[in-house]
Amino acid sequence: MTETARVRTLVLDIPEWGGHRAGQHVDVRLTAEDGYQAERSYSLASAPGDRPAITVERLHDGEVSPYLVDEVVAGDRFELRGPIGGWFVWDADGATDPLLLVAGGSGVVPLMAMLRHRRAAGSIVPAKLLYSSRTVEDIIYREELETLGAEVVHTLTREQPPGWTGYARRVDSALLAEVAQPPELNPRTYVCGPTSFVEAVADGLVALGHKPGRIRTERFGGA
Amino acid sequence: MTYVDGNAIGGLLGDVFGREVTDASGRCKECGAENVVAALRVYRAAGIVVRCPLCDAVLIRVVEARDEIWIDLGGLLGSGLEPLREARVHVVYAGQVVDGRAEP
Repeated sequence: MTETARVRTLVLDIPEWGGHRAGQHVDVRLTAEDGYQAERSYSLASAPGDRPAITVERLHDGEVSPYLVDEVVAGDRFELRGPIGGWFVWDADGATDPLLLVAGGSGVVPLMAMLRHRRAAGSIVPAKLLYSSRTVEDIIYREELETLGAEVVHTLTREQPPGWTGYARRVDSALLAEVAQPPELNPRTYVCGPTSFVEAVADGLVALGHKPGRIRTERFGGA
Repeated sequence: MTYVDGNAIGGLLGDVFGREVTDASGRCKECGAENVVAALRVYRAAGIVVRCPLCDAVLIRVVEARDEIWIDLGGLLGSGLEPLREARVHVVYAGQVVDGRAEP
């Protein structure tokens, strides 16, 4: 399923899949004919209980993502390890604290699994997603995000369409002060995106008085 | 050089320890900071170097070659993490393979 010009979701058919938790990832390993192997991690986008799906962004110098976004067709097989992760996960069962999710680009994928899980589980904890994208065309899951019963706040950092009423700047502590729940509400916080983005958000939240121990991060590296 | 979180090598470490370890905690031998594996800093080059997020000390080194894995947990204090007793997993300490299962 095509999400944006550079992003595609693949629903996986995995024998003996034992289910997963929202926020977990899988490792995909491709082996070339000469034996060369490349392995990358991709977050699971689907709710636990639904078929495992990964959402992949094509990186221009990528070794794995161009294949997954542009070439793979239904019925293709590849090697996969997972589900992986016991820390950057959220379980609706027993959750009472408000949820604060902050995403940069394709960092929205594991957070989407949490929002889908929250809806599927009928959880009533308040949830807020602050989602930074370059342009409106780069927003992944744009339509579905409006249907999940969570407050979704977009910021577009590179280009805004005419009439855009959302934010148009990078996420920093000033923007977080406007959007995030106040520290007194002690939200359970998950931040995912490029390393520099996650740094800025985590530092910004701590500067506002959020407890570092309440902030869970997943950095996926360069830009 | 940019880094990612310990979460990123959860799959590899799962192969080494035979279980999910991203939520296991380990203490830095250098500064004493205790962190879960998922919150450690991972630098990837020819091998993988895992550093303490507080003091930057090297906690774990991992090298994968063909189907074998060499792991050095020498920077951790009492993590309670026990690598699997498997032929393809080699434990290294102070530069020496200490598990007796591989040629040094």
